Amino acid sequence: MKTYAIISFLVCILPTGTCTGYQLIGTEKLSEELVAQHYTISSNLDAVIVVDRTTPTFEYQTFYCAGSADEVEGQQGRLHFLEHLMSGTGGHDQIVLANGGQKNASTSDIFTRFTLRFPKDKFDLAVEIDSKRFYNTVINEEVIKKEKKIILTERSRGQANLTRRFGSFFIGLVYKKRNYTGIGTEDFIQQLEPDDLKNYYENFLRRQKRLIVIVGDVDVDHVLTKLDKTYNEQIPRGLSIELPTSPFPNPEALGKKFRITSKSLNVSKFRKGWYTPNLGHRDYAGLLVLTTILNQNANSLRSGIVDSGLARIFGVELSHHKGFSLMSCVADLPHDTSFDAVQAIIRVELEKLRSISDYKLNGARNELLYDMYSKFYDRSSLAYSFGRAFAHANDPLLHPKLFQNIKSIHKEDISRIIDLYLTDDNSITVYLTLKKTNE
Amino acid sequence: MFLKVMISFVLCYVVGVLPAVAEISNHHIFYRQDKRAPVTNIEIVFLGAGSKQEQPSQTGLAVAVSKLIQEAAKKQGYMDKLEALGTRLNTSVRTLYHTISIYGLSENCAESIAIFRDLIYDLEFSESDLGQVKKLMITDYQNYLRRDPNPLMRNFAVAKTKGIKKLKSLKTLQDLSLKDIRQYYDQLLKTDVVFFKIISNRDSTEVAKWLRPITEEREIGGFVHSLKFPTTDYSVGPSAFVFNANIKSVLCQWLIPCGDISEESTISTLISDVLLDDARGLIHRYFRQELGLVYGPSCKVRWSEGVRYLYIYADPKLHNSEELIVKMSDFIRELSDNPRFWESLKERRKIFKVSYVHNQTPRRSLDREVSRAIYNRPTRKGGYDSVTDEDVRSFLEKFFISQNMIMVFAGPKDHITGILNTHWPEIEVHEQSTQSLIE
Repeated sequence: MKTYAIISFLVCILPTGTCTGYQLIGTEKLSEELVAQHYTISSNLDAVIVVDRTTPTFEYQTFYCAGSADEVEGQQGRLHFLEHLMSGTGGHDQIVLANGGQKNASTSDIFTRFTLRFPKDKFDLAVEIDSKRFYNTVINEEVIKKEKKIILTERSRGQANLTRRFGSFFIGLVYKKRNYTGIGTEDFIQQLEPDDLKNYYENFLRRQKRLIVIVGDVDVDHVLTKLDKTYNEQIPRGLSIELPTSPFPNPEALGKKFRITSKSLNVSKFRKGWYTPNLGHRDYAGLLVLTTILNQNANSLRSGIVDSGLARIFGVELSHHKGFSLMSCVADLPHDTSFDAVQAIIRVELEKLRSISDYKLNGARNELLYDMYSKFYDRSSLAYSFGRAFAHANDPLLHPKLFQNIKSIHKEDISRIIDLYLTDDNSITVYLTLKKTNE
Repeated sequence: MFLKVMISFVLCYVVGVLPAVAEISNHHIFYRQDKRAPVTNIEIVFLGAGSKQEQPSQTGLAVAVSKLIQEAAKKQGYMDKLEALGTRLNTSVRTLYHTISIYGLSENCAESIAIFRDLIYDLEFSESDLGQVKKLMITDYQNYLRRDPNPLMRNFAVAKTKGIKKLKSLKTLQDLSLKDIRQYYDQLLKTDVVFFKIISNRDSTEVAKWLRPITEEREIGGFVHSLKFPTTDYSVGPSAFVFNANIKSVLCQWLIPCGDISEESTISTLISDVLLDDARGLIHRYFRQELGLVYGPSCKVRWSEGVRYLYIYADPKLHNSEELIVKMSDFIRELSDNPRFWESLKERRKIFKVSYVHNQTPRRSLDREVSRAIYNRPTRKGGYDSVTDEDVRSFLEKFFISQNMIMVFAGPKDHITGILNTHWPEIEVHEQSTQSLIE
């Protein structure tokens, strides 16, 4: 009884205003004017805030750490469907528009993202819309019927795009899922029912970790108070998605080459992807610099292959996946270009880079830094960088930390990275080519 | 002099525009300081150069020069020098102007500009460079056809109905000589008026100092800017262009010519905003959300040579295409009697008052300022507020009529011509191969 009395007394005298759930867990200076602050709001929700008063507006992006790669083989498409339902729920389109806002949504392999953009005095409205999506998305026969028609049209557009289909095939190999498709097959979309989608929304999507990124003309205290008040309900964690050091999902595919054919093709397609570490790894900055070197306008792998006419389009990219990245060479080739010739040139160019000059390395480093700094001019791209880092490697501030790592890359790192990661037995290679008449 | 300096200081401080004393004859400097990132973007706009200067027998000349600058810069080592600093060189061509731009870290800007100066004044073009550029351009033309032929289709349809020249022609490209190239480049360097469009974290005094090596030696007497185009008073419609494509959807475009490039464009822009400025435009709401016939419609005001037109794009699946084509054509023709259009116009007027802030970024305000200076169109006093419903109605009744409608379709030819024959037996149908877009 005495103990209860003491506890009651303490509860009464403690100022309630200080009982906030949010906590600052990291800060990174981006430039002379911009600083990123990382907070936890609740057990499943983090926030990154960057104050930028250049224009009296703000960008509000919400990332759910679940994407189509997390969906079961043969049952992909629910997340994309939910993205459509959540984005338009409760007549949001009209509310956003009437308040001078803009909105968008997308589903990637590793996250589902919702974007809002408003004049500065509409912050509370943005939180209200975001929270309605989180707590009260309308999922019933009527909205599902309407959305199915739209999604099937979207799907048919994607199906007509050979580059997209080829990319999905490659990602399917990476994640060991046959008929990989973020949008879902036509049959699967047609059979989706309200109960099934509600269950997925309640017990899967809402239980994933989320990150809200706010960039713009906002008051940090107000943002934190509002997020804390709105999202203080603790949602139990659902199925955990492995992060950040998850191994490559399909190790059996590493070192293998896959050839697929089609009866009618304007160009052959080639993709070679090396399994590489995530944003949190010390070699990631070196991989970024290497990607830049290989893509440069002059005296690079890309310029050599395109200028010689071996490829119509060629590029090197570093893509982000769940806990790992892939460095890939992607090409559209005339039918008479041999895939072996392209692979041989890639090997020769990588070999040359073992003795890269300081001059060239420094140039690539500066070019890369320019690209990354330029994103500070575009709030949407900046917010996206934080969200992607969170879904990919569980830490949004890994992105700004890269700037320092990039500056400290030496030429010995390039040689070591080539040896360590860019080997044939650490890669998946896929060719898409014309079907021969006798096949 | 004291007064001039004071005014300059005030101008510079208050609006971030380089003061008049920093201007050099025939050079106008448009500048914004943006301290969010330590980078500098300099775009040099040669006003009066561009594709307008090409004779019909020289189609592709301006782009060829643009590509040759890059090619020669690579061969003569300038590109390597710029890349060593992490600075990028870009060139582009529009109807009324030609741009050469450099982008990089501000700390390397002075050095980059010195290299750039040598590049533009000392560049030599050779037959082998021209041969290489022709090869690259042929590949580009084929890539456009494969990846996004819609702009070429629009230009082709406007060229056929309004008598302007085609954007791409393999024949004229093959016929281009080194003499044509050298003449164009000589005129380009001596262009009468040049704009510098700059965003930098550095202050205006430093930026003005950087530019002196370029401006000091420049001669004039080359291209002269003019908004005049040959009159294109052709009768346009109703006509339809059908491009055969083996796809499971029909890509549809409606073009509505409505004036020329030098005319005031407030009403046409207002109408395109009402129809589809964003995902909440009337076409999106009606054709996507209510009827579910399309996924990604769009509507924009565009120019081809001097001809201004409003275009609407829709992407129905094959089985929805007849309904979409009929309903969209009726929708366009009956727009002035459509009560939903007038409701949307009213709504849009309110939205402008709150959403304009999104366009206040330094980059967008700079783009607007330079665009105003290039096109020098009469501005409507009072902007959108001064446009009455009667003005809009007169515009719709003049231009949104069958006789002024050009339709462009890509998809299964027999399916599309079947729809046209059923609903508009009187329409003039041009069946074209996609290859004809670049022949």
